[in-house]
Amino acid sequence: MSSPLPPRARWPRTRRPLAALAPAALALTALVALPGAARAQAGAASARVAAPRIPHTKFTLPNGLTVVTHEDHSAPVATVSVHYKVGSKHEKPGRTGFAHLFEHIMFEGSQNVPEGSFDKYLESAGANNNGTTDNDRTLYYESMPSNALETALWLESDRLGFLLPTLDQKKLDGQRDIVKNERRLRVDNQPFGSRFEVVSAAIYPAGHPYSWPVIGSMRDLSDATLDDVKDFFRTYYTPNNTVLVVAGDIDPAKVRQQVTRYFGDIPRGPALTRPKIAPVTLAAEKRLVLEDSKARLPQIAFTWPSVGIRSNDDAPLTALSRVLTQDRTSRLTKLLVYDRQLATNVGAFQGSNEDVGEFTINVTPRPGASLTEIERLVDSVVTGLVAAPPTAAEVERYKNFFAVSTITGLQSVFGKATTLGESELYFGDPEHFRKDLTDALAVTPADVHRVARQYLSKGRIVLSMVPAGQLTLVSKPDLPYVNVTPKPAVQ
Amino acid sequence: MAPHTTLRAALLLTAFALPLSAQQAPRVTKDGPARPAAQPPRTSGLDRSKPPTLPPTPQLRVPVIETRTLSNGITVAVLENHEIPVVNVRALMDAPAVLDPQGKEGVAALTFAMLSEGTKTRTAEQLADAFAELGTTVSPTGFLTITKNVDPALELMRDQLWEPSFPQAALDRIRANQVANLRRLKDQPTYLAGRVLANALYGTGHPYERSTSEASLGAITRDDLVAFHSTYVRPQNVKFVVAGDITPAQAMEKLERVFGKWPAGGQKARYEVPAPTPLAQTTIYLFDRPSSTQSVIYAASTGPRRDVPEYYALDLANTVLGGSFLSRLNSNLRETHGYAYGAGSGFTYRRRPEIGQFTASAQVQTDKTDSSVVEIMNELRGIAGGRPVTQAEFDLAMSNAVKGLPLAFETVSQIAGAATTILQDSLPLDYYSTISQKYEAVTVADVNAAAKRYIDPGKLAIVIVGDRKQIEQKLRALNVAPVVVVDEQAKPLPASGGGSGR
Repeated sequence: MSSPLPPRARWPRTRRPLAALAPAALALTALVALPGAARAQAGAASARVAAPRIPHTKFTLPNGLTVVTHEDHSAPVATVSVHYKVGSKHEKPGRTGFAHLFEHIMFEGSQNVPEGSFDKYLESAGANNNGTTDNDRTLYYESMPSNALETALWLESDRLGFLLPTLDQKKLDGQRDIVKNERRLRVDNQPFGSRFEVVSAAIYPAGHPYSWPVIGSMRDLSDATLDDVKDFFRTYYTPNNTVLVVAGDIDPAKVRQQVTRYFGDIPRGPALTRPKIAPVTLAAEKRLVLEDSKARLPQIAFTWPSVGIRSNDDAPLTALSRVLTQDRTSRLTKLLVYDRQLATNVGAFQGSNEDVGEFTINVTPRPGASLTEIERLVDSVVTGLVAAPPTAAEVERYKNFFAVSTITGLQSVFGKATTLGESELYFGDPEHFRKDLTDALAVTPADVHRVARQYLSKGRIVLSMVPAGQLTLVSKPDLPYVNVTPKPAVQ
Repeated sequence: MAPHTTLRAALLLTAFALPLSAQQAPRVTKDGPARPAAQPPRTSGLDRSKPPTLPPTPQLRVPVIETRTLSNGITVAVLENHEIPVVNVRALMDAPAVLDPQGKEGVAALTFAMLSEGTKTRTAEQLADAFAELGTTVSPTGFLTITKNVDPALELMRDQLWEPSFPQAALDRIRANQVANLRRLKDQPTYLAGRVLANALYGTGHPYERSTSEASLGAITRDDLVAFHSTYVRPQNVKFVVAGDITPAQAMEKLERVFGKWPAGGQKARYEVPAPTPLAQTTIYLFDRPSSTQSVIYAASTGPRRDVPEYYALDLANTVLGGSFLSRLNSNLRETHGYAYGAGSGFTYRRRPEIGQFTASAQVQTDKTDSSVVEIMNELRGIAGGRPVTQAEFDLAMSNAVKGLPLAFETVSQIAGAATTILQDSLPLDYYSTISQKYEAVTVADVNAAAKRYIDPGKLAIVIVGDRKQIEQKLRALNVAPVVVVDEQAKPLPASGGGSGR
């Protein structure tokens, strides 16, 4: 049983648009009907649909705030989503976890909204709200009956424009305790909960912006000061670093007036220079071992550095992941789960952030299965795709699933708002998500072969996860490895 | 498991679409609006100190549920919504795990898992190929697909429900995987707490305690699954929900063609749920999970049936206590003390109007386990009469319940979920049209009376899964309730102690 409350802050580790956008079919002939768009004919093949459109308007206020609106009257609801271009990669050394800690503070009141009132206004209007932080961005949203729209704009503008006057040490300390408990819940009290952060720390050089976890370390959370909060706010929480989306049962002309009224007088912040962060490669394989006394069965994960969302290789890498584990006929799943029955579950995914990405294969072994044998079989499958392209049928297979999930993923106003917002935030084009689809449609077996050769034949991380003290279970225990088991956290 | 099923969690609908022809599709350019923008207003005169006035709540648009019957008696609920070209079909099977034979817990779940492992006309691989062609995985009990694929998807659903082949090799594989998953679950503190709680609350062997174990999985044979299927996976135990881009006439024509000849037979799902022995007094059941950095705390009792008259009053009471972000439990444990990332509570109403459950829960930092128990007990005593719900709390909960309704009626999946709730809980078809009035008929006095009646701080099972070494003595020192160190069956461990229960 989990708490009935929505979490305040998740941090997706992958940068897929929240609506799980996915490639459609080869022939981009028809428009798919979304609310507010013209209906269209479906294509010929059984699951072939074209990239949907989300009709929208876009304008920029003199202070740099970019605003996107989408009108859809099919239900009397609206979503406001506010996308700030700041995430954990912008943190300073010694302050990991700060972007997310700051996100929590944004809910604690501002000049005209006393502490606790933010949620009170929204709950009493029947609205939901939350925020989420990842490596690249921080997102806040309200989903509400459409009559509450102005309330949401007032609340969002007050915390963007007037957060600091009521900020105090007590608010910071209170949220710090909560975030530490969030870390305990998600990481420290979970079997192998630190698996992701030990891999990030090993893939990226020390001090690299993607080398630390979004939740941060206990020590750094303890060290955060009020001055840090103020600096962060003044630097990143500015109209010119923000995309505001208003979608749903709205009147765009009226929204434009309201947004101008509430956000127009918030001063522009400093211009931000964004350092170029290049993807990394590993010269050699790194073998890591994680022990955990809270786990009684081992696991194993393989991670290769790959590319981020701006790279043309993102789509073929996604296709490669599906060739490995789309369903029971896919290469890796078939071999490990069905033919050899050494694993209950196999997952492969291309997780792409704004600047970098990681290609990961996770295997959940059956009790008693040898990690060494599993590694040997994983390598035989990967080597096969490095040596020769997959069949056309293998590459085509997953596109149908993506086509359908594209449509279903854009049913809700929330899904459309966040899709528009993320597209604008990263690419300056609210409809960039459609290019993701066309890119995916264009992937060929040769592309998959190329990216397998390019990314999966270089250095990687092999992480054996074993119950505490059971180092004999490590994959290929004769090879040198680094034991990355964390010391008990400094509370 | 004690899932929180609050009313609004189960409330899922979408409004009827306006005819698309009535919607203006604005022309879009990359650079901005196609229409000239309205005159930007002057920002002077904006008084930020007061919230904007809230305009009237928009008219709630509740989807119409059409119910019809196939020639063989199967009920079909259709919810038409042509917003986007997708259709969600669900087969609501009344074949719950409570029907598992004693000692063979897991039969129901294993039976449904096996339906996708091969049929009289298709191997499992051929099923997978068919799903890939549609771009939709069709489970035996439902699918969400684009409109034009409804017919082939229904055919795949029929094949699995009606004519599964139960290959022995697949049973062996799935069984071994379920055993592996069970072992991994035992590393999860919430799973452990759920198991201990079920034993503490209902007693070992009670229908609501019994759950899959390695022993019960090992005892299940292919014949058990075939028998369960031929007994319960039958027209008399199914209802269909069809929602989305389809008319009732189309839905009935398709379902009649595919499921109209499904042969009758088997029996209705019938089972008795005896009332468990009530707890004599509040007791703390401590299960040791060494090196835990947090403790899972569940404070629970049995609860009322879904059809209690106080249902709406109780829902509002729970919103105040632990059903929302601003609730007393979350405000206390998270915002005031910072002991937890979140805390909450909920009433569970099971499928039939049988025995329900009330659970308050939190995961708290280990060194604040005792303090958290004190705070949770304070809040439970408070809501049960020590600190009655105030008018302001009542107004907020009421406002949230009524005004939040439009959010529940948006996507096709939400609509289908709403009909599912109505059919499974035997609610009237106009349930969602009348819900606002039902809430508004409740008074603050009703809320307090319901909370007092159904939340008894003196008869709780408090299950704590955490690092015994660090928390046991402090819990005993509280003198809130007797502390028993237990195994997974909630049975006391030998007093020599030291056993970890793992």
